[in-house]
Amino acid sequence: MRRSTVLILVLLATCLLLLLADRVIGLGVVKGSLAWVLGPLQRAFYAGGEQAGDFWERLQEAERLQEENKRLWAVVEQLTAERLHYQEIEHENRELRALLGLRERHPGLELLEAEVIGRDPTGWQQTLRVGWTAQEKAREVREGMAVIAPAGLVGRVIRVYPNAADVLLITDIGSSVSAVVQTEGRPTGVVDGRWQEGTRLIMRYLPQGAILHEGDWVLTSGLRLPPFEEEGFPPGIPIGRILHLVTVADLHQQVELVPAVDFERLEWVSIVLGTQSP
Amino acid sequence: MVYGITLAVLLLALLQVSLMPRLPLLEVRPDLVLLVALAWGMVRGSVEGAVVAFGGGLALDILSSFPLGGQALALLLTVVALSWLGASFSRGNPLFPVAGAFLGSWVYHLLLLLLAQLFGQAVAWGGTLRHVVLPLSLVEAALMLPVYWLLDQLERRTHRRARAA
Repeated sequence: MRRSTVLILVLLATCLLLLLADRVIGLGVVKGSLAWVLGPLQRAFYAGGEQAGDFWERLQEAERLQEENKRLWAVVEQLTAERLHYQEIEHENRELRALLGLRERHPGLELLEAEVIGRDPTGWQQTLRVGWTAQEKAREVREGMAVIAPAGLVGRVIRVYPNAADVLLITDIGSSVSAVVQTEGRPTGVVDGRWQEGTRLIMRYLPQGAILHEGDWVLTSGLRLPPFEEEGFPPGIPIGRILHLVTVADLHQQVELVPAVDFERLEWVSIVLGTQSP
Repeated sequence: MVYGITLAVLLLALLQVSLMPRLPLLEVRPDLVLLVALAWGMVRGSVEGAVVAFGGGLALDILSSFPLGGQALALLLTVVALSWLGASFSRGNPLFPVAGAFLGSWVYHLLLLLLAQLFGQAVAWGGTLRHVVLPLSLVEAALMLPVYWLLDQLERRTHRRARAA
């Protein structure tokens, strides 16, 4: 028999003998003595094991906390998005209420509410693109129609698409509006856009004798100017306030205006489809 | 070399009873002594594996409530059987240690359960095999790769040094 086989058999026999002895006479004392010898080592290992276990638990806890943290961040992000969404709705609500107020202030006007969906990308024109969803009224939108906001006059429709329109702002150099100053004598003139020339609005052709003050309101007069004789601005819509007198010519005065509408923050407008007969 | 490994296995037995219960891996406690004894038997053959299994098994017997010689016998039989079975396989095949550990784990635990029953302990065969032995054998099979690689490297290095001397 090979030596290796003998060794294995001896080991097997030892195991069996130990088992048998443990079964028959009980080797508790032997085992206890050996365990006593190994005791200090076992205690040291166990203490190390406890520390390692604590560390392992902390590690697992850290992982759990990390997961929890991730989950909570996801909730925070979701809630932030929801909050922003609600803020947007609230803001939209305010804007629409203002438009409703506009409707109430001008009961004679037939209006189509539209949302600002774009601004002129070229930077050299003062236009807005507005869109709407009310299909029935949309067919009535035509070039030249006035566009107003709760604060005042915005501009005029210059191009119509199926669900949108381009609006030329009153500040654009191509815009002219017949206006009246809300002051003694109610002098009239024409408000021209001057944004491309560095100012915003200029009111020209004011009579020489008109007494004008800074801060006086300028409103639409309702007179129609070419080339939009058919689609005039309704009267009484605020255009702006007099900022200062620019020139006093022989026959006319000229003043600079501050627009009533903050065009940068404009989100909702109303297109004046027409005037309702009383 | 075999005595060094046996001493290491004794320390592993201490770790097995003190550290591993605190560090459950996937809800099971891998049997470090079994893994090292099996791996050494695969690397160095059945005799050296048997010596390591005997030493480690006895240490576990002393440190646990199992009858003295019981774990040593189960470990010895498992390692010798797997070493013989594995003798025909190539050592470079990674399937060899993994399959060996999976099979060895089942053989070892079945023997332990059998011995426990023989010694009058209550054994819930179905539940133990399903909920303990099966996941344990899978974890041990996965752990065997690094253990086998480590011992194989150690063996190659010491063998080379011995030949050079």
